[in-house]
Amino acid sequence: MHLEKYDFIKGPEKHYYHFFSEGSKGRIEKVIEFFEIHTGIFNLAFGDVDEKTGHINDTVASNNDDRDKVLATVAGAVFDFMDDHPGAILYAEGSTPARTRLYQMGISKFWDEISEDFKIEGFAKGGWKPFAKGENYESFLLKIK
Amino acid sequence: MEALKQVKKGKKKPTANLESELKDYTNDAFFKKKRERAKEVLDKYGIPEHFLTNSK
Repeated sequence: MHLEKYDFIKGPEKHYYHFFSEGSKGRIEKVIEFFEIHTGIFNLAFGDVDEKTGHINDTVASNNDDRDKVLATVAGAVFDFMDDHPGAILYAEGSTPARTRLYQMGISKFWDEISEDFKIEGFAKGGWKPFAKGENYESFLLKIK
Repeated sequence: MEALKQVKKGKKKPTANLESELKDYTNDAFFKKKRERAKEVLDKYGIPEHFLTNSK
């Protein structure tokens, strides 16, 4: 399966990845952050650079008609990061339920490949459980098997 | 796995010009808020033992 994605650039800061989405809404810079919140546990977050303020947000739907390509690019950054940090645990949660569903859609879409090498838990109804397609979750944990 | 390998091929090494254009987002309010939320959830619910030990 060929996955179209954007080329990303690893920023000079240790755990930042930058890429540009290009489409009908123009060229939009996106930034992915992996930030260590506890020893060995990293929060995954990403959003668009607001060109007016220079700040990040992910509540705006930039809608460049490239959702799958953006998800594949974020996945690529995750694989690259986990290559460098094989013992790391990632935590990810969207800023809104819709954004979290987007993450879930990405995991489900590539589940057959992802599950070969990664273990993923989803948080739902007050507890963590192994990820299963078709279930709805509020946040995710990921680690290399 | 081949699909994952293809995704991984996308990385580039940063160039001097691009580095100078890339802003430091360490103190960005959005990322700070996300980190705080992550800490809040993990401090409250923890990480399941079976996930940490790879047990099924």
